[in-house]
Amino acid sequence: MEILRRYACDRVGLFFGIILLGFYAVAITAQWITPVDPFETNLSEGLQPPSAAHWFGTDQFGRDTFSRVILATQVTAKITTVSLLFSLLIGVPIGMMVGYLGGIADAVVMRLTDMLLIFPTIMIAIIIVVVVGPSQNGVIIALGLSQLPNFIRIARSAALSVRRELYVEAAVAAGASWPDILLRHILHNISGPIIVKSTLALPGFVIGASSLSYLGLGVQPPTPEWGQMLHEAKDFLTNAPYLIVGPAIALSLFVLAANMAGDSLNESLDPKLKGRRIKRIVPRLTGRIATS
Amino acid sequence: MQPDVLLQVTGLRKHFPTRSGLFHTGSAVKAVDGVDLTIKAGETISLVGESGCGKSTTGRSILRLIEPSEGEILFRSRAIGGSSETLVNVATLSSSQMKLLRREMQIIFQDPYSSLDPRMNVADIVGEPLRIQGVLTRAERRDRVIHLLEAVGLGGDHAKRFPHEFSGGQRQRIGIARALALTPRFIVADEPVSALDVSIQAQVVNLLQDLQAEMGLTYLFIAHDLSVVRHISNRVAVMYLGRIVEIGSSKAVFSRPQHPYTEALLSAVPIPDPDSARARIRLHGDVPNPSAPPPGCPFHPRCSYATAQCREQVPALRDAGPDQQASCHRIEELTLAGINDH
Repeated sequence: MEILRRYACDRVGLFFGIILLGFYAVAITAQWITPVDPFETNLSEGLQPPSAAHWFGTDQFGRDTFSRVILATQVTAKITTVSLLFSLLIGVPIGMMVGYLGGIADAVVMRLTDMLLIFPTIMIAIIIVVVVGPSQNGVIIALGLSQLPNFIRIARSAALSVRRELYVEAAVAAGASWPDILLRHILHNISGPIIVKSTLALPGFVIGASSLSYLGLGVQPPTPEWGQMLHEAKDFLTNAPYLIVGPAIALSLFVLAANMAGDSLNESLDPKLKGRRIKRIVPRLTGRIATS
Repeated sequence: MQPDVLLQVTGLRKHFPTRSGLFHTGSAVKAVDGVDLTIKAGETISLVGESGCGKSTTGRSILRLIEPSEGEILFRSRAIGGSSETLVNVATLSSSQMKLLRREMQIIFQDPYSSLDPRMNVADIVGEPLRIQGVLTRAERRDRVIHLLEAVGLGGDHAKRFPHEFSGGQRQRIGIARALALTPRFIVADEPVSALDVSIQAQVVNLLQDLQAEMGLTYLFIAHDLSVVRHISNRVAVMYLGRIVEIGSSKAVFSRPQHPYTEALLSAVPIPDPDSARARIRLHGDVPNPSAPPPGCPFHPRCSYATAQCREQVPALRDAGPDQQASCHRIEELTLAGINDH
């Protein structure tokens, strides 16, 4: 509650937090709020510029871009949430375990994550999609695996800092087994950094999902996805540039909102960082005014 | 083992390997290097010495919070082997037997800030050993927690609060309540009052003594504050560089120390008498590196009484009076200054 209160004090964070929640609200209710059926083709009304009936215009098959952007929000939210859960539910237990137990398992897991971290995320994702095949599930596995090392590392480092605490030793002295300690004490005390990491990783997942779909390796037509819509729109860039507006705005706004909300969450969870971002921005602005 | 002995430690060693470089394995830090200790049921034995002498490591090794490298720890257990008392070697118990034994051996920590999980409320902290051991139902546990909190001088209304709402002394009481939850017979108190204000220290020490009288507890009291030690303990063991250099009844060790190191320690105890003409003994140099202790008596480089023999031969712990032992070559020749009762 204290955290929520502190979060609410940060107006920038609050603003983008609401936008982020708005995206999820749209995603959950997408089937019911699309003004037109996003799959309905109407070739006689193809490539129409934005109008009162079609806010973002229509694509080459006459489908309403606005409705498709709304449905794409759901697809993107589903992919990113599931892949986030994938790396969270696998990465955090592994990281906690090797961090607490240490030894050979720790060394092996850390070297493996080092190896995975050498490659750019998108490259790992492409390799996995090539193996699994281009599909929604392929994207989920690819993104989940590519972010896995980050979650293992953050859970491990958090567990390392908690395991030497005396209350962990007190639990050992009372006869607690290590799974019990992980569950009761470690998980409890490392949830803060993990929540922050998840929020900050979200934009990466969104960009990853859209990039793969843009490259034709992700969500397949006719299912709309922001990246996949941009991919289709680029063929008509000269005579129907309005087609990229909808998905581009949605994508940018989502990434921006998730980043800003994650930053604010980080600050509200860590009192030491309190208000630092505001301080960082303000002198920069005043400095600019002074020089001009 | 005599019938009144609760715990007997023989040849306890804990060596921490030090590593330098990738493959080169260095020598070991001998944190505890052959400690023998006999603890009688119902007594308070204090382990004193300066920082890094291995007193905490000894206490933790006895509870196997640190795995001892070597040695035998015999304990008269009631939890293992039904209701009758069984002599067990703590150092070789399996993990399931160890879990049972933990009902009888508990620890109180020095730092009351780090020893309580900041995200758990007091009821969960104090009830945790009961939950782990699965000895009571949820409702019984709640009653027991309130009873324990009252026993350490806190109220049942504190149960739902979180550690950050308490002062250092109150937190230490919570830590004591947790250690008592399983009604242990033996408690390692690892500097339980060092982190507290002097006025609070007295309260906590008195609480520990009251609980001992009430519940028949046996304490291994680890400390560096000799005034507190003198007040609370029946016997005192002085450690230097991982070994016990002097052990004996509290009275004997304080009034007639037989080891020069004990004398130096005692000379640092403040005496509330401005006219006291006692000379403070200042030790020269630092504690030697415990991975490379000096040959002969480990204390000889800092000892003002050292002779050629001290530089070559390691002195053994031997009788130095009634109920007192010391490891010094010159016990018979030296008359060392202690603290006299007022």
